[in-house]
Amino acid sequence: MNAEREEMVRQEETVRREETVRREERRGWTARLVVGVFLVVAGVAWILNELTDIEVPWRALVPVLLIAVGVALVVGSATGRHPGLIALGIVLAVLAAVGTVLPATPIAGVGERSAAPAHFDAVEDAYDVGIGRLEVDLTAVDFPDGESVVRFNVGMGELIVTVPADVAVRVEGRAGIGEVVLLETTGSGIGVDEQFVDEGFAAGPARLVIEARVGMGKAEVRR
Amino acid sequence: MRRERDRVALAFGSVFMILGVVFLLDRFDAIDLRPGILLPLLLIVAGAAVALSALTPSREE
Repeated sequence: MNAEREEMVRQEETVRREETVRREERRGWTARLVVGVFLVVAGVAWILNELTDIEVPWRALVPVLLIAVGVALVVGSATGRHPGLIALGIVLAVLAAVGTVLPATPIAGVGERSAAPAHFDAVEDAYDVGIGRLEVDLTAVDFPDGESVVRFNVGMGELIVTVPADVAVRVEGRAGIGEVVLLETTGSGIGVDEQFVDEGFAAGPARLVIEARVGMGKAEVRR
Repeated sequence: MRRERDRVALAFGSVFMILGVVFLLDRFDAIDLRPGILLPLLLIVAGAAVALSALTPSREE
């Protein structure tokens, strides 16, 4: 009787051990699949970007990878906890949140950048600085009739934009944490979102729309 | 045989998928995820993850 019971216990233990090994194998398989697929997709996107006119939306990379990690975790939850994937997901979520709060990342550049375009063709659609100071003087520009939109993004630091006196402007300013000074409108604190519109803006022949964003710091638009 | 799922992995996976979709919509300007919305949203998904991990059957149970 004891021998039979011992045999049964031994068999149960063997089954449990085999099941554990199978789970471990499946767990490693899920993580390797996610990383492998990501590397292949990133490589293909890179080649397409280099060799063709296809514009790869790199800004979507982190959110897409976050979704992929989420799917892998939900599917893989049958085989275990996958702490490595959870850690990867947390890092990606933080990166995505930082990318959302900061209008420009350090990749956009660190230091001081200034520009004073002399004519309209020299005005860029967007000016970015990751960390530092961005100063753009638009007073010499003769803006054409119609609406012109220029965007300014600073991740952390200071943004100063000077607009011409003879152009009707609408300014939208936003700061994650900090201060915005938009001609006659100011605001400060967390999640600052202000707007200033010149009287008669809608009727103006030349209309300039300024979008000024700072993650942390100060955004100032002046004449 | 019913396969039991790890509730923590399931909760984190669900949250990552939701956050990924939200961030993706923001990147393509479908929604405007300003800090005043992002911070309470993070609170909501964190709470949802905790609640989901409490409600979902664990593999240990």
